Order: sequence, then C-alpha cells, then structure tokens
Amino acid sequence: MNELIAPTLPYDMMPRARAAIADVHLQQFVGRATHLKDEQRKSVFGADFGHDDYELLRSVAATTKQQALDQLDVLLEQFIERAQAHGSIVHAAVDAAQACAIALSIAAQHEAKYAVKATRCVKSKSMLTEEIGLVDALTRAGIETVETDLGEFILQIDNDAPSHIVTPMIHKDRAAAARSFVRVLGSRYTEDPEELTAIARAHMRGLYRHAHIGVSGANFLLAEEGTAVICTNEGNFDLSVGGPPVHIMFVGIEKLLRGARDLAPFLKLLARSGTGQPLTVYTSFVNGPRRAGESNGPKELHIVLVDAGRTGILGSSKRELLRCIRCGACLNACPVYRKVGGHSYGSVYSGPIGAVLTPELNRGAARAEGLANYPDLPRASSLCGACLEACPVKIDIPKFLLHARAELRTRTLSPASESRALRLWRWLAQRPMLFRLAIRASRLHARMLGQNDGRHAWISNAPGPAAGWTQSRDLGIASAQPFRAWFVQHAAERDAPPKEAAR
Amino acid sequence: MNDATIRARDAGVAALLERVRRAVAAQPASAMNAVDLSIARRTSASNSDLATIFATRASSVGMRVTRCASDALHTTVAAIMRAHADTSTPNQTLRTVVAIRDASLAQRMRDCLSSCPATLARDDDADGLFDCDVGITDVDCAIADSGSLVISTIGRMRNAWITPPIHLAIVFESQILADLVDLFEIRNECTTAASTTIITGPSKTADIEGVLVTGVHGPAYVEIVLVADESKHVADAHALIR
Ligand code: SF4
Repeated sequence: MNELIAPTLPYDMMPRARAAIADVHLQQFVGRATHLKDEQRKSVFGADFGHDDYELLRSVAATTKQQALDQLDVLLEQFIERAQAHGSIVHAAVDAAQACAIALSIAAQHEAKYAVKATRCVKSKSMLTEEIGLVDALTRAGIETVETDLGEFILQIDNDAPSHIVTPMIHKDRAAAARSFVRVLGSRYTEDPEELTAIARAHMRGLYRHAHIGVSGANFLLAEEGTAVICTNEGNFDLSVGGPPVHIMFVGIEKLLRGARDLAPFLKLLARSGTGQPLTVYTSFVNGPRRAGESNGPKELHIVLVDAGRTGILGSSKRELLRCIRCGACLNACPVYRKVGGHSYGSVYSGPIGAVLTPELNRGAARAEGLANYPDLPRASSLCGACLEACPVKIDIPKFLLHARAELRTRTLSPASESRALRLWRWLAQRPMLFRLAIRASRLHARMLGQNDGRHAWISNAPGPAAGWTQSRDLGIASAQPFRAWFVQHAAERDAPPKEAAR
Repeated sequence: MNDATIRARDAGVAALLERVRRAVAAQPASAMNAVDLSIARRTSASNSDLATIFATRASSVGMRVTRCASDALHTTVAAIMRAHADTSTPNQTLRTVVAIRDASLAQRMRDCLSSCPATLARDDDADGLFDCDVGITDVDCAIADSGSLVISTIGRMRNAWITPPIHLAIVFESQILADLVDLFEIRNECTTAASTTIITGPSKTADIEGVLVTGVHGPAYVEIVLVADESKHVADAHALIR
C-alpha cells in the first residue's frame, strides 16, 4: 500500500508536517481551497436554512444517526434480509485482509461463470476501499483496477495518495496532472482543466465498456428497504455499476440508517457540508442486480459489510465517532489541516476526524496499539472547536482529542518533560501566592527572551524545557498586565454608571 | 458457487452480527430525544408555483430549462435537438436513444425525432449506449426544492441518461414534488427499482485546482423540457409518481 496513507508504524508526524509547511505551493492550494469551501458551507447553510435551523438540522442528523448506531444490530440484520430479498449477495469481513480476500474469491469465480478471466476492474471513489488497500490486492492478483473519480485517477497514475476525503488531489496542481497524462495516456501536454477532463473521459469510456468487475463504496444503507445509496458528482458510480457483469460494493457497518424516511436530512447536509451544493449531482439508489428483462446493470451484486475496527468503536465510549458521514467539512475548517495538509496524518482519514479515527481504527485485537502507533495525532489540533462547529452530525472531536491526550499521558506515551511540566503546574496552581509569583517571574524572563511587534510578543526559540514546544510553534508571552489586574480595572468600569459619550 | 463457499459466507455474516450485538450491548444507548425530521424541509407543497421554483433551482445547478405548453412539446424538443446538432459540426445527426417509461410519450418522441437531425439508437443495446449523442427520458418525478430529476430503471434503459453527452429530460409540471422530504414519504422507485438516480445538475468535477468542469463521466448538458400539464398527462404523471 502507499506509504503516504499506510506509513511505517509508529508514525512520526513531524517530518511530513514540516515539509508541508515549507511547501509554498501546497500552502497556497490547500489554504485557498479549504478556506473557500468552508466559507461556501457557511454561506449556503445561512442562506438555505438560517443559523437556527442549521443548528437544528445538525441536531436532527446527529440524533438520527446515533439512534441508528444504538440499534445497529437490529438494523444490520434487517438490511441483510432485505438486500438478499432484492437479490444481492451479502458478505461480511472482519478486517481489511478478509475484505480483500472476498473480492479476490469473487473474481476467481468469474471465468467459470462468464467464460472470461476477470482482468479489468473499474472503481468508483470510496474511502473504505482505500482503507483496506483493495486496489493493491486486486492489482497483485492480476486485475487491473482503475480509479474512475478524476482526482483519484490522477493520484493513481502518479503513485500519489488522496489527501482529503472529498477533494482527494487538493495538494496537487494542474501541471502535475498534465505531466502524468502525457506520460501515462500519451496525450499531448495541456494544463487546461477542461481538456484534461475530456482526455480522462475518453480514456475512461473504454474502461467502462470492457471492465469485468465494478467496485464502489456506499454512503448510506437503508435497513427497512435493503437499499444502498451512493453520492457522486461526476457520475462515475452509475457508469461503474452499469457496465460490468459483476459489482462489488464495500460498506462500513456504520453506514446504516433506519430507512428512507430518515435519509433526506443527511443528503441535504452531506452535499452542503462538503461542497456547498444542494445535493450531490448524482444520488444513486441500488436495490440488487438487474431485473429480468433489463438489458444492462450488474448480473451479480455483492455487498461486503466491513468491520475493520468498527465494532470496537461501537462498543466503546467513542461510539459517536461512527456518526461521521465523511463530508470533509471538519478538514476544511481546521487551521492545522490547512497548514499541514492531509498526508501529514499518515492515514486515509486526515484532518480532525482522522486524528481521532485513525488510532481507533488501528487499535487491533488488544485495543491498545492505535495510540502508540499514532502518538502525534491527538496533538495535531489547536482545540479551537472549528471542527465541531462544522460537523453536520455534531461529533465532539475536540472532546475525543482531549481524551486521547489523557490516554497518552496515563499510558506514559507522552514525553517525560511534558509530564514533569504538568506536575509542576498542578503543584503551583494549588498555591495561589506562589502561583502569582511564578507567573510574574516567568513574564519578566520571557520578555527578555522574546520578540515584540508592538501588538504581540512571542518567543520562537525557547531554552530548556520549553524548547520542544517552540520547535513547531511560537510561545506566546503573557501580556504586561496580569489578568487579575485587568479584571479589577474592568469590573470597576462595568459597575460605573453608563456614560452618554460612550455611545 | 459451491456449498462450502456459501456456508463460509453465511457464517461470516452471522459472526459479524454477533460482534455487533455484543458491541451494541456494551454501551448504554444515548439519551437523545426523538427528533422531528420535518426541519429538513425547505419547500412546502402548499407553494402555489412549484414549477417556477423547480425551473429556477434546476437552472441554478447548471441544467437548462425550457418551459412549454403540452401541444408545443414536439417543436420544443426539435428546436433543442437542432441547436445541439449545429453547435458541434453543422448538419451533424445526433445518435439518440429514447428511454421513456410512458409508452405513448415514447412513441411521440420517436415520431418527433424523424423531424430532427437525429438517428434512433436501440434502447436495449448496452454497449451501443456509449456511441449515442443524446439520451431522451421522462422522469419518475422531479423535486422543486433542489431542482432535481428522479429517474428509475423501471421501463427505461439504465444509464441512458448518463452515458451520452446530452441528456434531454421531459418533465410534466404535475410530476413536481415540493421537497426531497416528500420523495421519501411516499413509497417509490428509489427503494424498489433495481436502480434510481436523483440528478441535480450536469456531471461535475472541481478536482483539478478547484476549477469547475462539467461533463466528466456523465452529460455536460442536461436539457429539461418542462411541460405545462393539460388533460391526459396529469393522470399519467400521477400514476407514475405512485
Ligand atoms: S467528522 Fe463530521 S465534519 Fe468531519 S468528515 Fe465526519 S461528518 Fe464531516
């Protein structure tokens, strides 16, 4: 699998984060694109629902999905039964390896059924298939598998990896795309996005026509109806499922909803949160293979329900994480993601949700390895709360980041210097007089070391125990006036009778 | 597939269900209150002019809407076909697939094509779809709030609306539902047909540097002919929605 999203563990975030920050292009692209998407989301919800109803809608979605998770066993059983009634073949996979093995065994039966060996596969965008490394597994088995989402395709031919849940090639520019098109497709050099898209379109048409197997994910599963719901903007899902005789859909068990009656809020939230659209261009509903008398559509529809760490989360106090609908809004809103980019998270899932989800999904059987393998992720946040505010299903990401930090400390996975500093702090905080003295002393000390631009003061190269902190960020310096003094002064102002002139 | 494979598969599914059961039981259910999903509704059926809302919203997501009276359907469709035939290469003929569920409307459209610069493609040739320039469909219903078309595989060749670069959809005003919420309150094709697609715009991407490009895999042009209902089609359309 690609080292970018499946790095050697334990994963050290710093080298990639530093490289990303030093990369002028990346700073420009990612910064601009995320900022724009974040603004779009806010303005579209503001215009379409208004602030209060947007809040309500998010609560409705959060509650609906949480309640679905609370009865996931019932819903899953119902879904399986209905999907089978539609003629779908349902499989279950404990982990990534098993999920891939199921795909390979389906492919192995191809020749017996269709008199031709399965060697070509078209794949529609899906986070889960990235997570389980499906493309590699198929390719190794001699099945050439092509990503049909334009962004994913460009990443694939470039040996790159997605760095954003929704806009996978957010870190890349058009020149990179142009070069790989010349190299891989033999097309003439052009940087025009429209021409590049047309070249990809023409290339992909041939693949859709002649593929043996189609692969996709799903955004929602409807228990009451046994229906799978898939959202795309390009239309590649419909084409991937319509042509090949066999389709395999990989779905995480957390995608279940009670039924179609619960779906509307999610479709409205997903598109607006991700890209500011009222709905994704294509919202496709699938109920089994083609019916008698139909001349196209898959003859076999396989649905592979994947666990891969999800039941562990479901049975833990972090169940709420499974509400995520992969809209990407928290990535766009996150000041840290904007600077370090998706690859810094060393996982398929980046940004705030990735920072909490990746360790959880990788806990393993002993439920312990996750954080030890990704010790930096819980700290890759300023805890500003922007992710929670953006999340359409109100996942309290900052809370879980804090929990993870606490776990790192109790399991002494965090540096010893940090523990020492915190112990000192706790000791001081319980002794008001000493505390005041210490703060005053540190302020004086810091002002001697720091820089000052008239409005702010900071230290970019602290000595001693604070050195680690200033390696990756500046240390702010307390202002000259202590808060206690400021409060006394302003309390007096507040209590004074209002002055006319103050208007 | 042999029995052993099937047994292994079913055992896997049973094991997953068991793990999920245990996980669900391991945590108390959240104490969240029941919710009223109607908050998701933006457009209500009491709105007197759903057709205008639909036309506006469909245009704003990049589809082209032409409104016409029902006796002007032929001339309207013919004019759109002619315009497209001329823009690419002058006097080009458009290979057109007709995938219309309503049999009489399908016949009317096939007749109409004879007066257009078009040749009729078979509507049961999956591979031939890739050589078509235009797919003409009717819809199961439309949604005013988002300007969307709802098209199922019942009575229509799958993907006839997404494979050719031009999709021409015929929508009768009486087929317009107010909001997506309404779609899921009625039992419909989304959960019964082999496949149904809600279409909200032409095929789009912004993957390359955020620049919006249409016509990636699906059509670059979605032409909607919005027909004012009179007499017969009101009843037909309602039958379709139900
Ligand atoms: S955590 Fe919330 S905001 Fe982030 S991707 Fe998931 S649903 Fe979207």
